[in-house]
Amino acid sequence: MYEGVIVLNEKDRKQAIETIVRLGGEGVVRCIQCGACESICPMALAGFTLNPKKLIRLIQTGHLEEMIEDSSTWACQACNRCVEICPRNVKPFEVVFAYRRYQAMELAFSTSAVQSQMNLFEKGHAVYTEAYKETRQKVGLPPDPPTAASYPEAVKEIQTLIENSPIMELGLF
Amino acid sequence: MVQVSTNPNIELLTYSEVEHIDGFVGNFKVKVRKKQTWVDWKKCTGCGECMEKCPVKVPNEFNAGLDHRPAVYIQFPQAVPKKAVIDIDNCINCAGRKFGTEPKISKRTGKPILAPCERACPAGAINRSLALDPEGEVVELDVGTIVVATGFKVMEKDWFKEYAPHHPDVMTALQFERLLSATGPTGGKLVRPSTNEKPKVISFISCVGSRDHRYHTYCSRVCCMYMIKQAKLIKDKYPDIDIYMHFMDVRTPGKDFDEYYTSAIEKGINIVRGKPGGIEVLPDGRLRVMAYDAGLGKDVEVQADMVILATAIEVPDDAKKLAQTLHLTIDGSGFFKELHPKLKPVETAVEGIYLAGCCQGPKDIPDTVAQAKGAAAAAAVPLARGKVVIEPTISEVDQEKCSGCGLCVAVCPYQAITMELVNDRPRAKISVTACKGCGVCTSTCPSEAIILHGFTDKQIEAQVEALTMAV
Repeated sequence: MYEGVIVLNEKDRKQAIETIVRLGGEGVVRCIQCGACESICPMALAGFTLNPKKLIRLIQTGHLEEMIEDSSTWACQACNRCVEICPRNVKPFEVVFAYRRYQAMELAFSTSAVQSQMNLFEKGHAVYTEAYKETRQKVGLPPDPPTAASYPEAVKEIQTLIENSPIMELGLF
Repeated sequence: MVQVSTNPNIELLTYSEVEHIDGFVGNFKVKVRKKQTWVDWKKCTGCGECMEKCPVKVPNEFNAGLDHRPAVYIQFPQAVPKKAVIDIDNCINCAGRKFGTEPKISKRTGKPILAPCERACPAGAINRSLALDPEGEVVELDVGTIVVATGFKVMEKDWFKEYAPHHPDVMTALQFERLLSATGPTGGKLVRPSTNEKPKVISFISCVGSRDHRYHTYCSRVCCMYMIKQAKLIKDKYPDIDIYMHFMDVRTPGKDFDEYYTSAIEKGINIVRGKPGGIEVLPDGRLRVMAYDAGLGKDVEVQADMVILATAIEVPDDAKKLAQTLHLTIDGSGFFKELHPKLKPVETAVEGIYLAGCCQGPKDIPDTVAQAKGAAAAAAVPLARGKVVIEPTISEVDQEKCSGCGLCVAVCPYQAITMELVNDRPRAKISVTACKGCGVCTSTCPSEAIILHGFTDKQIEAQVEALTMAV
């Protein structure tokens, strides 16, 4: 084995593809690396280290772990331009999201995301601050908006949904 | 092929070579030399008994050298006609009896002591007493039109020192095709030649000798598809074998071809874009394919049990000789040249000779069949019409001026000029059907005895005058 040379092997490749397919990115096998997605991806154009084409090739060659600590997958804006342009029906956006799910399963996301998840579970809002209440009252509105914040039973419903979703496996709550 | 051999209107001359050709469209005289076989084909039934008795072992051409054949042999089980021949260069002259000599008479039985092949033949078709006839049997044929279809050969792996050609597990795709074949050397069982065990990882390398300025600049056109076919065959039969395919580009033009490629990807065949630069033999006998992955933008390696090289398609070795015999032109890549790449794709510079298949350029089976049908139809036209249309702008000899030097005969690229005796003196004569009006003879003739109709000095001078008048 030479320094810096990647040894391709089928075991890693199979495992990587199976993981991503299971998490919703079944198009990953169809990609022929034409690069159309990369050429229009706002994430790639903005200079993030990761882009759909690169991520797909990493998965296709069994390098699932390679970019796990790279937070740029979270920069995907879900604009779906890649899905529209892809000539092989790969749906790169879904591969990126499948990879995010994989990252989440491995707790490879920023701590600020943990706070949002906890807010969602407790208040029914991912972004929630007490400061809004005063501002709302100044303009004559009730302190809480007519959302889950005002309806504890709706929060209960959200909690039930979350409790039945894979996010519970992370043990955040 | 069997239907061809049994058709009463088709005479099949196999194991034969075209020696000489004379004449022109509609009136070709072809000399064909039949090679000496030492087997009477009228008696031979193709049973193969002689092959089992012959003690000689030489590399089997049909299995691309993967196994051996005897000196008396039938080329392959489906050969048409299924007749044996003795390869006299490799015959070891059993019991010291050279071919062309009568057998010794046994003192004990009083019967001749025959060679094992002669003894084995139940039909009594083999006769090694026949002397070598260097001329062979020459057949003269009168034919109207000719279709040339000499086929191709693939490059040997030995050219590519970077790919460890000495290693038995590195093989050309044609050898691999034989290895996979049910009639091949292993009966269709996929094994590594070095260990006789089933391989776990197989790598394919494309464009070996094709699209390579060191060897052939052209694309061999069929490699991508046959490699994908071989990969799919293996994957269908042995899903546990890992397959890597290294492509410079994947070229799958043709009906349903790209769908085939897509289905191979979906089957789990690894496509790696980038050409490997070398193969190293690992201490355990496996092969390290040193490759590049354009998708990752990084060097990669595959540790493979077998490596298949898709070597380039080439013209057969004797195609050049045949081109000289038939007065055909060949292009820069060595293939026979068609008259026009778009509008006369099966015609040649010689009226009445047509091309079909890989002798004109690399092509796959559908393209070959289409071209062959085109060539057959084109070859039938002058025969059905019974006459051909010729151009008026051809050369003619003024035999009054001709000195009979014969320079024109030597320069004519179409062999259209012959010498004839006029009043006991040699004079040139141009065949109106063979002449293409190129004008080489006209400019060569020291006596200015050859006129190219439409381009006489007077006509050209008049044209120059007309063009310069306005100035």
